[in-house]
Amino acid sequence: MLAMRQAGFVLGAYGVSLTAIVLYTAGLLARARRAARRLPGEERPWQ
Amino acid sequence: MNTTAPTAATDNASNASAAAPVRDKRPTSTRFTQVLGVIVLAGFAWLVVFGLLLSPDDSEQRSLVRIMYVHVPSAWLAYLAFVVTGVASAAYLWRRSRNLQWDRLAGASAEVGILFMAITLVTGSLWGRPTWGTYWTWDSRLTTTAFLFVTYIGYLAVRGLGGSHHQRARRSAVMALLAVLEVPLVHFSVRWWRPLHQGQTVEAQKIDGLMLFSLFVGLVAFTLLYVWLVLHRMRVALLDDEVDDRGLDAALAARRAEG
Repeated sequence: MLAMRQAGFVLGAYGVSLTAIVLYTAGLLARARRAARRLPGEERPWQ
Repeated sequence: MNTTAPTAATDNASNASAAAPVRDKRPTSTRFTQVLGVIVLAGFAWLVVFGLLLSPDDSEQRSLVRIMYVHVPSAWLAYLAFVVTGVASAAYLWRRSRNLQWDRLAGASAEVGILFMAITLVTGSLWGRPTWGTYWTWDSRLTTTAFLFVTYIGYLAVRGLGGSHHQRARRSAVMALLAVLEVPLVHFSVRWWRPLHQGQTVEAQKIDGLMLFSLFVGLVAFTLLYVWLVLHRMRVALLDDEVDDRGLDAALAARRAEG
């Protein structure tokens, strides 16, 4: 019972962490696409 | 009949037209960030395997110790991110050229640091509930960490205020140099005030073997993720600045046309 209760906290910690990273990354890439759409055909310094 | 040259030209043209949509679909990507992204994914897969499956239970904390492999690396990388913000801000103010790339690095690192600090706070709460019986307590480590988190939220708010890029860079650099002073306060709070939060585990060499290796895997995965996120965030900041400049130019041109 104790092990199952602890597993919930452990899995919750990993789940929350990975979800936060995925959501932030998705938002960042979407923001990049939005900005790039407003600068069509531009050569980027890193490309 | 030699058809090689036209075919090559056609291929180049079709490659160029195919490259443009790809470039706009992933505008901040390069070959390096793509390879790094794959390595980051592999690193996190390893972290999950080692953290949840291969590392042993602790004699006192049992399976709860597995939270450490996410909680500690995210805290360390948040510290690193805030220190990078401070160093980049100092570099912006120091150098006579006032290169905005330093400012963009400072802002990108702070934003990623806030993400990692949020992960630290949430995973710490989830660790604290079964260990201390509460999700939150106002002890020195937790309080200083929360204060650090709020300070950098404020730093991002200051970056969002109006003005030119260099005005933004100057005022946020000054704030970053003040805010980074909180990092040692948080780190050494467990030594100075002996709170409920446990002391320094790694420096005191309280873990070894597979547990130490799992923590190392977490540290590598979070470090690579930090580099990947900061690179992309800096490029987004450059695009945003260019969009702002275009908007300003268009507004000035419209004003001149009116006059």
